[in-house]
Amino acid sequence: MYGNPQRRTSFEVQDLRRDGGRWLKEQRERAGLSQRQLAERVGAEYYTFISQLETGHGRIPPDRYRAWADALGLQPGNFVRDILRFYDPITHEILFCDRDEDKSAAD
Amino acid sequence: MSANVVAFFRRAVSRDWSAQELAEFYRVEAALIQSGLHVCSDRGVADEGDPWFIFCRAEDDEVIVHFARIDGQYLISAPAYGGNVTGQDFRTLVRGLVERHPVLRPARQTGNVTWHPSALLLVLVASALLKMGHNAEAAPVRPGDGLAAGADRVPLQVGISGLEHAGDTVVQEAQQNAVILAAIACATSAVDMSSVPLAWAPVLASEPVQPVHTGLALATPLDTSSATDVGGSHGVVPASPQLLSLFSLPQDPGAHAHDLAFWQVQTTPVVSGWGPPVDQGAAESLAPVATLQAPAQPNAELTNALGTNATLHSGAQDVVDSVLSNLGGNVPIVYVSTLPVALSTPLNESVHTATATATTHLTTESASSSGGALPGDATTTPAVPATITAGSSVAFDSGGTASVAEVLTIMQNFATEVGPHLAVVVTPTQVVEYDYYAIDTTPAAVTAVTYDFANGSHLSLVGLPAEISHALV
Repeated sequence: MYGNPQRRTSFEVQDLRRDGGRWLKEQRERAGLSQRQLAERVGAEYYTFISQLETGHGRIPPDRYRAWADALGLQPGNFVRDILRFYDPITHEILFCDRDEDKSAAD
Repeated sequence: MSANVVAFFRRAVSRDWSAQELAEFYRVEAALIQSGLHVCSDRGVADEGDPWFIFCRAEDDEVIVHFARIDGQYLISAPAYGGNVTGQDFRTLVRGLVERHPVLRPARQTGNVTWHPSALLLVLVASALLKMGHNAEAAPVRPGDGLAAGADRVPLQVGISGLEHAGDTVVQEAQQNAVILAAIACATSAVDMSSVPLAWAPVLASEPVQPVHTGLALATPLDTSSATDVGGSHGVVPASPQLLSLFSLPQDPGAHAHDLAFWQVQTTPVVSGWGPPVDQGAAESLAPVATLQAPAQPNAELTNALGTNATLHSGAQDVVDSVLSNLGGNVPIVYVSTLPVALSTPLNESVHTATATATTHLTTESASSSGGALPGDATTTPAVPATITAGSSVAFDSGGTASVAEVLTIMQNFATEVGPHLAVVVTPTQVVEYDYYAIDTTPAAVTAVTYDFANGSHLSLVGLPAEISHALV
């Protein structure tokens, strides 16, 4: 179970998921894949799951992040960084935005 | 590249859910919401045209169940059930999942609980939600965790409004059962979704919850403030005026509650028609919501009350009495003021074949044939056909007891042939014994035999030709 750990309102969660879905769709289309092809490459058992994700419902299981990154032709680290913006924005902010600020301050 | 071309061609085909399928989904959602379950739904069509529909937990938008029809095959995926199932028959899939993951159990091990197909879908979704809730509840929630205030601080339990953490497995299970039963009650309220625009579906949540006693174990009683508990094992009489109006009974249900000891949940004409869009039938599901144990003896009070208040004609009255006493204890007998459309349509639009036997005047009806004989079985036409008059009805003199006995024998035979799919519906002027599974799944193949009494009442058998022919032998 990959529940939302942020305790955000359902509307915020849905907005984030929808944004994430749009981003996933953009990445899939950029990679030239149909939803069925992507499902096969990431090991999804049914391809309508891809359509469901792209409309902003549900989320990619973390143990499939690497498969998704490979299927979409993205570096796994970059893929996780981007997807965390939608799935876990607080963690994303701490890991990436704060780190950038720390790095700027150090420079 | 070639794969992209294939995808392009597939994209041109649209195979969205039928209106009937969507109506059933929304009907389930409305019932769940009405009973206090926090669910929402969404649907879409994949890039190749295959439709999907999901139920989500409203608190966090986690998907409870994903339904899809991919390449003509139905798929149901519910994390709580541990995987996916696929197959051609949606109802079989739903029924199989519910049976493999029972949430509601009969109070007695010998109890025979048969869920209405629509209730099955509801039970499936509600059970999956409750199973997910258990998992979420087990996760530790730290005080002060999270940033938002108010409702966001409430732990994700089971997605049920007002359901406190009982800390007692038995009580919690009973509460879950109660919630599901309440949802089933909502789903089986007297609302015909086939006549309600889809946009109205959420509005149905404002309908009052009507508890239904199904003989299932409930450690925590349902709120029966809006219902009359008649006691015993045949419990709660829905108090909705809309429901009662179907039975032409007095407005005060309490005053006549004792007359309804053998109350049966009335079958609401619900939408079915699961199947590819090209095969959309207008058939209505006629399966009983739940099969209750009938009293050991015929309930004279009920039949008398029905006869008094609903003016059941005497010919049909005799048969109703006999049906109650002879058809066994598990046949659902449903009393309504008008026949469900799926039954009335083949009966009304049939071609009648009159026979001129000495004891009976028999009319046969077929939903699909224009001849007198039952389709595919020439032996099913009793006696010698005298005339074939489309749309006519031949009077049947029921004065002799022998003729009633003959009809009863045929009804007994028919009951034996149909077996567990048998149900009986009774109106003030008509008794129909029917195979609800055949009507639901193969309505075009259904045939009817009707006995018309001189007093205007009718007795009908509705089922497959083979079932009727065997009954008439």
